[in-house]
Amino acid sequence: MNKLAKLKQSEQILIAITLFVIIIGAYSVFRFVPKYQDISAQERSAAKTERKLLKARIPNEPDQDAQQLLSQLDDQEHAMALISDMADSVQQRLAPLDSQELRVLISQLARDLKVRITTNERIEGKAPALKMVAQKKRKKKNQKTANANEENKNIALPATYSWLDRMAPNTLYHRPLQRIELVGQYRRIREFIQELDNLPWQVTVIRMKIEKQSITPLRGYAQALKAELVLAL
Amino acid sequence: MLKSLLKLGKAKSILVCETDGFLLRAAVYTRTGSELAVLQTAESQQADMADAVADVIKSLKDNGWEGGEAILLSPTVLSTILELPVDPKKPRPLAQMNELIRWEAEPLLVQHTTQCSVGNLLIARGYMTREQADAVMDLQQGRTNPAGGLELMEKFSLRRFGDLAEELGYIKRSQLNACLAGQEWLKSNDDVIECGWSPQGEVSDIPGTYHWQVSAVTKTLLQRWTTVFQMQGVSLQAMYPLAGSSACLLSNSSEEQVLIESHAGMSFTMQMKGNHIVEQHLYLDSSKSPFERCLEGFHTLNAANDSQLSLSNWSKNDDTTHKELAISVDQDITAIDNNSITEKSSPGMVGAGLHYLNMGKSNWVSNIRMGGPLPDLLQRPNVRAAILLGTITILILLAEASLFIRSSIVEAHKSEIDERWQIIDTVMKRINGDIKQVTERKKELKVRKSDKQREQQRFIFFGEELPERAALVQIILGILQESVSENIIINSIDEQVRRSAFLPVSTKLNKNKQVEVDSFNLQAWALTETSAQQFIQTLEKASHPWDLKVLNSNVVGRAGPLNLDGFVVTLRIVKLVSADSLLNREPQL
Repeated sequence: MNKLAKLKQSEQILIAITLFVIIIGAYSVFRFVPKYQDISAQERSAAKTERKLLKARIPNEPDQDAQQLLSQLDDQEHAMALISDMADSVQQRLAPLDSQELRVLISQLARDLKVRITTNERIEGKAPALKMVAQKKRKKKNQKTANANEENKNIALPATYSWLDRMAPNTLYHRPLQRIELVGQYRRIREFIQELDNLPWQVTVIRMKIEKQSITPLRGYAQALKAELVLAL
Repeated sequence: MLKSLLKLGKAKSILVCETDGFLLRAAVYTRTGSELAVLQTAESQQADMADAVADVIKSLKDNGWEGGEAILLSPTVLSTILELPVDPKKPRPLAQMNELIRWEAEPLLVQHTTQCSVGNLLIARGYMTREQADAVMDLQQGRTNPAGGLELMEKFSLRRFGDLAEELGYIKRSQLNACLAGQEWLKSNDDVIECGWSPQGEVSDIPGTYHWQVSAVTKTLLQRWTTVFQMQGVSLQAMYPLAGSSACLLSNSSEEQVLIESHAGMSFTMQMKGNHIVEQHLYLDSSKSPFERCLEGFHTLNAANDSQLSLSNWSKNDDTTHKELAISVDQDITAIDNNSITEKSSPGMVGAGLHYLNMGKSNWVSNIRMGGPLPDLLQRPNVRAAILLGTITILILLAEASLFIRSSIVEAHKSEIDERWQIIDTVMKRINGDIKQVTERKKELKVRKSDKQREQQRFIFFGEELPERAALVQIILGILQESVSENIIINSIDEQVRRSAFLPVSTKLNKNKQVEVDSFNLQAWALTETSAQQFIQTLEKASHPWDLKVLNSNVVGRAGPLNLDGFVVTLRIVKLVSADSLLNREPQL
């Protein structure tokens, strides 16, 4: 204190100012400013939340109850199970897609009924849907073919379309199609068609064309006919 | 307020020492509330004051005193009243004031130290009488005296007072030595003096001139005492005059007050008006009784008759002074009393202790501080430092308070907003969750409905439509077989390939809102038109039970087989279904 007393007035003022600046400066830098910034940040956060509050719109409650939908789903599940059971019985009547056995049986049947098969080939229907998908593809170049096929699988053409179209590949009703040309008498051909129903698997004539052979039969013999059938296996 | 703050910084206890040159008395006082309490006392009669100080401090420390600060009351300290043209309200700078006081006090101090001559000390101690001392002085100065004439002057003029007194047989050598040892601590030949002062009131008949109570002592003596105390680990803070310190025990009064102090061989009187000292005197005469000295001292004052008289009389077995004085002045005299005044604690010591601890009447006593008098409060570096630190502290506290208030407001606001947002957010999340759940379930329901529809369609197609188709082919073949007659040749039956858009029913509806689903083109040849018409009618009849229609029948004459004339029949056998049943066909469960 004695040393302090010996200091001149100006020196004392200088020391006081220095001390003041150091202490207040240190306080400002290490305490006041960080705390002030912290408070300002909180204030900004509060203002932001307030703005969010003003802009917030509470969405309307859903018009349907989730539980109600759940019960509807259950109903659909039950209905689906019922339909699946029925579909299974129908499915069992259909031959496997690559079944050769059915083709052999058809040939056997024709032979048994003395109907001569002149042409026996596998064909595929062309669904109009495929054409439409192709048009769409041109419009949307990025769309992939796989997606298109996937889409076609869900296409179920109405009864106004030909059977060939309706049973085209990649449609809901797709089945392997077999085009056969038969030569025989009307009765045999009809019998052949009738006997198709008695095969172990379902075979349906989805196109039929029967015409008279140009060769005139011998007297006492029935007219030979040529039948072109498309069979859905 | 600042003063009270400074008071807090002061020591709570103080060692007060008092010496008359031959004896050192010490007492440790402590502050107990507004009172002063004596903790310890000690006394030493060592001739050398250095030994005396060591003795008392050792004694105090042995009894548990931990050391600290000390003040000293000494007869060598001058206490006087000066009239200076300095207004206490407009004090001059410290250095200038110090110089002014020194200038005035120096001759007074020289005069004051004469009381510490060997002769006075020997008289004060009772080793010789005033007459003997006068005789020795006369011998020294060659004046006529009972002891001899001019020849003696030549013999004794160069002799020292003590030696001469011893030679004359008035004193013993040991007594002289004791006095000389004591004188070492009471007198010095130094010209430099240290002062202390206390402002008083304005001089009544001289406007602009004020009374200043001044204490002064030579710097050499002050340093000597400081060193002695320092050697014992005690810091000597100030020196007080031996006489006059008990004024601190007086209380303020609007009336005129007179203090009379009785000491060994001297009396001290002080007159106060309006709480300011107007006059003070020190009266020395060992030959007189305390009562006489006090009375003499009192009469030197121009005291009013109604003055409040106070007597500070500490002499043992001296009960008469108070009574005699009261009778002589014909006034009531209040004896100064205090709990701390004991046999070893004089009123002066208590007063000085109170003054040092800022507990008594401070402006009636002035001390001499080590390092000189304190400047004005605002001029003191420690006060300035305290003000600076206080200002900084207040600024920081204000800043902290503002931060706290703002922080509290913001936090409260934020918590309120957050709480509101949390409520809304929770509601929104719940509703969005419900919406999402409902949407997902709707989607799932849609998928299941779609799956169900697909399964239904597949079931209808493979389970109903294909068997119906097979039956239709059988029916067509059966109808043809039944309708053919001898006059009819069927050339061909060909199924028309339908080429329809996705929903052709809307465009191809007939009047009955029916649509063709299967169509067989038939071409036949008849020998006659009648048989051709009959064939058509037969077909129509055969088709009717099976909900088949014969349409677009046409009979045209044309050559047939073997170029026979005949008629070509063309027609279509169609299956019609209602548009509604086509679109809304349900599986037959």
